[in-house]
Amino acid sequence: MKLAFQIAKRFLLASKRQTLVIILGIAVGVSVQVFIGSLIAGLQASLVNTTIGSRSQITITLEDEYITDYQNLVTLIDNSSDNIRVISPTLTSNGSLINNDNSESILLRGFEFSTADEIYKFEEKFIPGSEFPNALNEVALGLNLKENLGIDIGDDVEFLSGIYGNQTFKVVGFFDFGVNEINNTWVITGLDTVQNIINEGNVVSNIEMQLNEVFDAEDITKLEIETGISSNFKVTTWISENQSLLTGLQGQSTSSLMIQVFVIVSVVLGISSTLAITVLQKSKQLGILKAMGIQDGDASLIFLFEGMLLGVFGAILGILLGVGLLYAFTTFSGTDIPISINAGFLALSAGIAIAASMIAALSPAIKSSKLSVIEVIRNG
Amino acid sequence: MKEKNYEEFINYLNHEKKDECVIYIMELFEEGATVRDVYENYVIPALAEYECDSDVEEICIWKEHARTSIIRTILESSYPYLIKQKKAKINKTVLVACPQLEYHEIGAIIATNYLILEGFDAKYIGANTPNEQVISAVSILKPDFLALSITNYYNIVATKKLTEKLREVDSNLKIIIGGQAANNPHTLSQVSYDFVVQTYADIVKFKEELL
Amino acid sequence: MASILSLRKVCKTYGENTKNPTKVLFDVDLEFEESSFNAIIGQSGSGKSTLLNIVGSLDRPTTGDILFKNESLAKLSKNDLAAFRNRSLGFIFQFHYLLPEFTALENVLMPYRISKQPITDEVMNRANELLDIVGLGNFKNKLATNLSGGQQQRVAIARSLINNPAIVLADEPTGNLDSDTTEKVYELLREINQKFKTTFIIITHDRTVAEKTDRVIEIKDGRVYLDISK
Ligand code: B12
Ligand SMILES: Nc1ncnc2c1ncn2[C@@H]1O[C@H](COP(=O)(O)OP(=O)(O)O)[C@@H](O)[C@H]1O
Ligand SMILES: [Mg+2]
Repeated sequence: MKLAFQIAKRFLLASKRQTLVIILGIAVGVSVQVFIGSLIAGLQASLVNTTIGSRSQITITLEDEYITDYQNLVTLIDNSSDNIRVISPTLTSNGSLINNDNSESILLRGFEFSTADEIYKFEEKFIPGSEFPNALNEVALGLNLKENLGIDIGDDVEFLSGIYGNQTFKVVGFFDFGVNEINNTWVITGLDTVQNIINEGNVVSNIEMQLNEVFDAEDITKLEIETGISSNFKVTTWISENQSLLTGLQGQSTSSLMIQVFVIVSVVLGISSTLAITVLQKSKQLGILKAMGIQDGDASLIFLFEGMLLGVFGAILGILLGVGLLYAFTTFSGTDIPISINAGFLALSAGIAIAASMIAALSPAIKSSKLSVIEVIRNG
Repeated sequence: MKEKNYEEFINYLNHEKKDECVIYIMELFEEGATVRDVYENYVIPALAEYECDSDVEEICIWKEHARTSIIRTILESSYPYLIKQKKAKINKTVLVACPQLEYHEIGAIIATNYLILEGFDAKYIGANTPNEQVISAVSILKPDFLALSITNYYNIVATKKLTEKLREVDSNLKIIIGGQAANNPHTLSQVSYDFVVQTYADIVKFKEELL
Repeated sequence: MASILSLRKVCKTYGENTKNPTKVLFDVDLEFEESSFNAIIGQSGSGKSTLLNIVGSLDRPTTGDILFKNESLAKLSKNDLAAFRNRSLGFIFQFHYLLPEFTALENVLMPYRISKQPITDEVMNRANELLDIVGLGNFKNKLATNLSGGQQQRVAIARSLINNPAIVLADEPTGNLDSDTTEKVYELLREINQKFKTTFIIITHDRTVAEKTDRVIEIKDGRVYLDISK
């Protein structure tokens, strides 16, 4: 073992240039893999983030009814899965806001801001001067309502609901989600404000969640959440509502995977053929080692170790190169594509490169064990 | 015989005192010693029992050469006595040779002289005789016997080839082998020969069997 | 003296399953004695190397058997043979065949390391001693490629002895060395033969070398043509 490793090391060091070329080859492969993998992962993350990053990823409702004992339900669900990042109860109603002659139909959403802000990130979206509508009958409005209604922070505004009657709100802020649908219609306020209006006691209409692993939403729903609660509850996930986004993402993932597979295949072919040449180059040494009594298995190990060493150094260099490339890309390309460099992914790429190198060394290793001493000794 | 004085002779030899050595042997002959006595009691032991008393290889080599040279002179000087002492001719011719790359020839020379003493018509044709020359001599002189003297066993390699060739050239030729290499029976078995002869007594016996 | 190695009716045919197989060795029977110093001579192409390679278990005979200390080699697997070579044989080839990536000392230690035993002080001392014996005490840490031909061959000699082999096999070990170096190498081999009682079987073209051996075997057309000893 030790001897085979040392011989492998010496063989590699003895032909430095050749070794360097192979390592560079592997490194280029790994760096491409790291670069493309990270870029696509970054793109996907940002796409996912803009689509579902600021909204509920799993929502629980009761058909035509409010949820009464919601605190217990929240605790129950929160405990059912480690994957739930945040869980927040909300109460939503609708109606119109009226200011002078202007009237807009709106969605009145009551939140527990301590948790809801983790889902919706209101704080980031508030325009300067805004505050959280923490007190009773304080509201913050979608930015478009500011113009449409002609109001500003500090103004009062009338809420009108066909069912629940009127209520005067105090405007404490505006937010900008960058999405017209929300900016036109959302009016946010504390949970108690809405509960007060609908007058049903301490109830909520939805329980909303965000996850750590967003793509596991369906699994979590089926395996963990639904098993613990009554089947009257209706659980919807972002996935069931965004099939097209999902197929898009999967398409990207597959093409990224394809690229990576081809990179690995070319790395394997490259190493394999170079090592095959090395076996020829070193056949004299192998012959003499065999004459001295080295076991065939140990002779093969030399080349497996060569593969491994090439893989390790190729991977290290490749990762450095790939990260450098990503850095250069983000710094100089001018685009603001967010890049995610994930230690796990880097480790995986390195692992794949090393494994691939060793697989590539397999055929030369077998070849070396089959090499006949006598041919080498005879042909000098 | 003056056997008790062998020490004296060896002492001269050890100091490369050539004149003293030659005079010593000549005196022996004058006193009536036979060639055989002189060879067996002085000449042969002087070489066979020679042991170098120096650790330095170079010294040993030149000392050995000097000694060999003195012995040669003695051998040449003994020839007139040999002519006087030799027995009646028996009409058998013998060629004596050392094969290719065999330089030890004192044994061959002594053997030739012994054969002459016993009435053989013996000719010594040289040390290190290449195979072709031996074959040429055999085919021209057509002797009854070819005697080969081999000291270094390695020269059996060349001797084997020589004897094989000789058998092809002259199937009537009888081959005699002598010399130290013939003392190992296995080694000897590798060459084609008719007789092994080493000592004077062997020669006498060989002669008796011929007649 | 006890026999250490016997060849029993060894035959070798190259390209057995081809259209024109060539038979190179014919019923070779030989015995080698312990601690003897043997030369194999013969014209080029006579089958000397083939014979030595079979004796060294680098190649298998087509028929016949080799006995090492009365144990047949025919029964051994490839890996068993490798272990046998490692333990009991030392090789010296014409073209030195050192590992150029390693130093003189590392080359000498290689057969020992192949045996997978831990390097002890004792082995280190032995390696150093062997390098001293072959006169390379000052070149221990030089890479093999930085040594002259004669030096490399002397390293190969030291290497062949590190595992205390019973037999050292050498195929024209001085074939491409000048005559002075040749002389030195042989004196060394002879010295080792006397000192360690190692059996030597040496193929050589060199008469001055063959002269120094105890036994000369001549191979001719794949047969033992002549077998003589002192
Ligand atoms: C003198 C000598 C030399 C001299 C030879 C000079 C010469 N012109 O002959 C020199 C210095 C050149 C020499 C060189 C070498 N030598 Co020298 N040498 C010896 C020494 C000391 C004596 C040999 C000798 O002449 N003996 C006296 C003769 C009379 O004895 P003999 O050869 O055994 O012959 C007798 C019988 O065998 C018989 N006989 C021999 N031939 C014949 C033939 C016939 C037909 C018959 C009937 C009988 C017969 O009759 C003789 C009388 O009884 C021996 C040591 C020893 N213990 O023998 C080493 C020795 C033979 N050498 C040896 C060696 C290794 C070498 C070298 C390789 C050394 C080197 N490092 O360079 C070289 C090789 C040269 C070569 N390529 O051949 C080794 C051989 C070992 C082996 N491999 O078998 C020995 C044994 C030394 C040792 N103990 O290591 N050597
Ligand atoms: N793998 C093989 N296939 C076919 N023939 C081979 C092979 N290896 C070696 N040979 C043949 O076997 C023969 C002996 O080769 P070798 O043992 O290398 O000889 P040597 O070492 O003596 O020169 C040669 O003819 C060679 O061409
Ligand atoms: Mg060969």
